[in-house]
Amino acid sequence: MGKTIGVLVTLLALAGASVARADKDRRKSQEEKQRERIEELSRKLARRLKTPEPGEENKFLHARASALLERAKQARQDAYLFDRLSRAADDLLEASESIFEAGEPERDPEDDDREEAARALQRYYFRAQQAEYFAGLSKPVLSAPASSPEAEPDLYVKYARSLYQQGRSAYDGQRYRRAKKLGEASAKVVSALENLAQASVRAPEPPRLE
Amino acid sequence: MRWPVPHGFRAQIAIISAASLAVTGLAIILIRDVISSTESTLVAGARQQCEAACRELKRQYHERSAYGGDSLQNLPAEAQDISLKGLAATVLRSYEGVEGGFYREAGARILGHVYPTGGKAPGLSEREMALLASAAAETERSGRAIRTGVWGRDIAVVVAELVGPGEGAAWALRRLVSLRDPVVEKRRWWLVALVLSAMLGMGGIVSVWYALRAGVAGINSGLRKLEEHFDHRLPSIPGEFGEISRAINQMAERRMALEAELRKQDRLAALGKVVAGVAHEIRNPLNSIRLALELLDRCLKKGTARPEEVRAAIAEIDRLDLILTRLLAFGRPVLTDRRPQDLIALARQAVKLVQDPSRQKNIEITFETDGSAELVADVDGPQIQQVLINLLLNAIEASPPSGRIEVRAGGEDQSVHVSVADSGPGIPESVQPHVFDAFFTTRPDGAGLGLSVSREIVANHGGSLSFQSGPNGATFNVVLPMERKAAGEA
Repeated sequence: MGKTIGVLVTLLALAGASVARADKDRRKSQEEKQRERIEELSRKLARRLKTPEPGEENKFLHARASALLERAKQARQDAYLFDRLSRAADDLLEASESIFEAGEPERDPEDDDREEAARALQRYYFRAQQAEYFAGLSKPVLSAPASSPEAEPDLYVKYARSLYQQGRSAYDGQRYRRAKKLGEASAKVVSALENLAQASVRAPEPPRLE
Repeated sequence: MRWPVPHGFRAQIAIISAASLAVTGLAIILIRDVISSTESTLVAGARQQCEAACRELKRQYHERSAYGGDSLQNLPAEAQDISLKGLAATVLRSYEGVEGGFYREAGARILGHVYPTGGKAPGLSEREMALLASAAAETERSGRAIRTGVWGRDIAVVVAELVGPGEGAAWALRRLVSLRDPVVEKRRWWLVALVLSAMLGMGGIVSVWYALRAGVAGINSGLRKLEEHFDHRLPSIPGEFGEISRAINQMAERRMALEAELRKQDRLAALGKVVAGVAHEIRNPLNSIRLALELLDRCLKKGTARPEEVRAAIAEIDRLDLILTRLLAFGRPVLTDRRPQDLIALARQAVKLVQDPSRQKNIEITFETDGSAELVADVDGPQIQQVLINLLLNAIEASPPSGRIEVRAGGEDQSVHVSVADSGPGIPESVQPHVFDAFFTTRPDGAGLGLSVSREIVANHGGSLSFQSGPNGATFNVVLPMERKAAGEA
């Protein structure tokens, strides 16, 4: 009897140690992933900050990406919030990259380029229209104390619309690659707003066993 | 072709009532049809709108999946809801009155529900939710489903379209207010009001009909009485018919005044004729008397006077006396001995008084009555007898020897009549207009006063003297009222 109890206690202790180890591994893996993500975004930001003569939009995007990255670092305990903030920062950096690519030399336009640009701009137009809606939902996140005072959601909307308009003008000037890249940048700003809006909801609680 | 038009009020009212009912019935059917048709059109329009919105939702969902960043499936439902709301709000902004979103079969969960043209989405009622669930379930089989729910005055049109296997369906909903329900299905008060108004209208028509009928009947009856007794007046009637009644009464008054004036003028004219006639008639006997007296004077001076001259003067004086007697009768309008008397007795007496002259011509006088034992009328007996004697003497004069005179007496409701028919050649047409003129005569020894005096006497009684003439003789009719009339005594 005493032996049996001793075996059971040993087994339970082993099981508990196993669960604790698995949890520690998972947390370690998550922390690792977050660290990798932060490093990746920091590199990206550094690369973008090296952009020569950044325009008004780029300055805005870099500043907001940097701020969001900082907030993501602080929110590492909340995996969901970290994920949304880091994605938003990533979207802004990609938008900045698209703007940079839009400035690259244009090749001679072909018939397919025009149609492709038209289709893409239609998508970006629809996306730009969503900016205001997501901006409205992003206010709780963007007006959080850690956020800078000028991080108004309206600025996101303004730059999203401005970038789309620039893309539309480029389309009229038959610079289809530039048109697509600027439209893409506009859509990325809206995606950042969407991620910020999603960040405003609380992370779902894990289900409890009955 | 001419349509038969009913002239009676009753038929016209029946036709108007039937037409009113028919128009009311047709109006009800028409309104119902128009409402149904309008509602069907609205529902069809809502379906088309929802179908288009649903297609666009589905398309934009796929666009987002392809180009819009991280997959929604990996996000918590709340985050998915935000993204889908942004998408749906942008799509449905172009569809006025349409709300929509996405439906996940698992857990019957609605995501991205927005109503951008109607403010904040009010949420779906239980029955709308059931309708949506039913449509969404069908999309798993047929790809797309349309449902229309009608609950009293509420109508909801739901269109759902499968987004992708396991991804649920996009849906769009449009609410409508039933036009039929408030006016046809449940709230029938307006229908009751319509029927009541139609009934009230018919009641009004019937009432007007009765009023018209009563008014026309009153005027008809009054006019009939007025025809029989000109001093009768129509009773006071309210409304428009009262004005007609008053106008008729005024017309009767004016006519009576006019007739009185005419009678007065007739009398004056007759008086002028009488004066002329008297002057003419008196001058002849006076001349004869003067001649007889001058002759008598000469004979007396010579001592050869004879009684013939005196008798001739006396005869002329008698003739003057006769003329004056008849003139007295003509100028005596006042009836001094008027009282209820039997006209049959007066007529028989008159027939007896003309026996001598009738026998001289061997003329037979017959007397008939309508079976009445007596015919009492309020008359001046001697004057009426004088009238009948005049008529009988004229008839004897006009009839050939061995001729026949028929005297008939009878009575009606309010009057009595005596007719004298001769068997002579009748009165020539050229003479007929002057038969009753004073001093008009076709006989060399006649004074021309008999018939004019007779008519004056009868008129003073409120009666009438008339004649008919044909090739087989002339008939004079005396009609007298049984009772004295106030206006007739003038």
